[in-house]
Amino acid sequence: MSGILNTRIAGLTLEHPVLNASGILGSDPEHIDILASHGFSAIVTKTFTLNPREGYNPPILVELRSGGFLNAIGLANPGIQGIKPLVDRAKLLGKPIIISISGNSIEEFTKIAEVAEDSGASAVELNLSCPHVKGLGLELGSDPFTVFLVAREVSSILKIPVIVKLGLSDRIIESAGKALEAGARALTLINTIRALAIDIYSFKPILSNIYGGLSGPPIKPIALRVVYDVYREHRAEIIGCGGISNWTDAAEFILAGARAIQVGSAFLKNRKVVYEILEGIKKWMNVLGYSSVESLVGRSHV
Amino acid sequence: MFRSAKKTRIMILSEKYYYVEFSLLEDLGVEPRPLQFVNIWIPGVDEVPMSISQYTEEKLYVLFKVVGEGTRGLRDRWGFFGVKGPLGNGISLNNYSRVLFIAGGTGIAPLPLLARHAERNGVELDVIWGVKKSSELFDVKTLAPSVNNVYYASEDCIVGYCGRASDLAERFLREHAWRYDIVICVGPKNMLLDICRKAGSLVDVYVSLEAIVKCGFGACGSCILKPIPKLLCTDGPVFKCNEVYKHLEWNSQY
Repeated sequence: MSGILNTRIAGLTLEHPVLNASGILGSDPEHIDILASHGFSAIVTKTFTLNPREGYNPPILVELRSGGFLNAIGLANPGIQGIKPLVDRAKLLGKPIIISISGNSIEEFTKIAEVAEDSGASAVELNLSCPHVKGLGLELGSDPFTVFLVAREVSSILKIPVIVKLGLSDRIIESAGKALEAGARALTLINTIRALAIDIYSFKPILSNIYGGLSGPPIKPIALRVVYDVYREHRAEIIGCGGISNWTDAAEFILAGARAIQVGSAFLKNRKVVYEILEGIKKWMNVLGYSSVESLVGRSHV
Repeated sequence: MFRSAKKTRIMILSEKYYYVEFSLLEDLGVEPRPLQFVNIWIPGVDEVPMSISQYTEEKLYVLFKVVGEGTRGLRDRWGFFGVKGPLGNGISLNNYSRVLFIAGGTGIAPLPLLARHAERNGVELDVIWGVKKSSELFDVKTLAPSVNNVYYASEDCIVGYCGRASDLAERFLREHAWRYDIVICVGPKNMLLDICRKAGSLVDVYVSLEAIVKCGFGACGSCILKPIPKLLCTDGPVFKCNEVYKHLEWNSQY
């Protein structure tokens, strides 16, 4: 591979910088088929927990008037026995696959990570930031020391790369630093943001879980700011995520410091979004006279 | 997008079938196509996918049988509900002149909207409708006055053809398939498989599937049509037999 869009992130070499965000399909082999067929350069699975989770009852997702989505799917997943079939399917399709992981304890994280590695996964993404499941996620990620402990334990037992996904919190720059110190090869920034929607006629919160994670265009400038700050502070390898809907959004994230990007909500609205982003990026590079997308990473920093 | 709706009327169509009218507080924004569906939120109870039975101005109609908490809420509760949609692909009747609609049980739900589109496009629409108990039947012309011929089947053999809708359809199509441009079939999976097997070679058959639809946007993946890489909510619910044949077979093994 030697195209102008080639991207190296966390030790993986990808055909181009656009991955799917975790949570968009990715818990059944057939989901992997769908994601692969829409052009993503690597597949990120739904978050796996040790045991199967049913997820929440509907409504689990609502499209907002202000743009974007609010979701509380509840980390529905088939548990660790569901990992191998996904990896096998991705291999059949020639796509790198990153297993997203969450747990109630460090032991759970390491156990699932080992299953992922033994199954042949390309990398793991530690979901330390799910905003709507109690005890799993954001509570972990907003404490830099916990981030350090989880990232270190998992990194120390795996040969495959560990990526840490963080959510918006006051101490995110510190948490990012701790994750890197603990051995994370890259950071995914950011997860959805805890939010709420209320139906004004029935007076009830719309999601069955009440709270959900906000995604899509409303969170893009926030995610961009976090990527910018973390890159400035740590010069880390970053996968930008949050409301990226078109190539100009993607270009901004690259300039802010993202080596790769993940697309979620925009894929729900537009099944061609990956190809459109790649076309736009190529034209943009052509206008600028660049022949490698990697040479544009972080260029907004002086 | 999420829209609020007020339940304004309920009709009891037969022993088990209900027809509910919702007044939308803002219209759907687009004209729904026949066989598209909506997710209806029953506040504090559940959200259920429902075929759009009819849509006029700001009124939306759904037809259902009570099968769980969600549909019980649709029947018994009043006040405000939420509507997401229209979702799914639906079907367009533009290029056809004669269409046969085959329904099993509550598969009859999308008929009123289909019939209105047929009438508007000058399409002659015949109907085969089968149920288990004849007490479930009602005169479909009360909801879809423009349909041409209606043939009923009941498994208790009290009204119409004695047997299943797919048996009647098979016998009927062996003789009359040539008269139709397409057949549209809505009902339980084993019925769809049956019709695809027996009539798929005689005429173009479209089937409308059911699955567990949770998010409605192709994110959660719960409506994956295993073992084929298609989602009911974004790729369906309407497919040609050959597109989903493996799914129909796969499911019938369980």
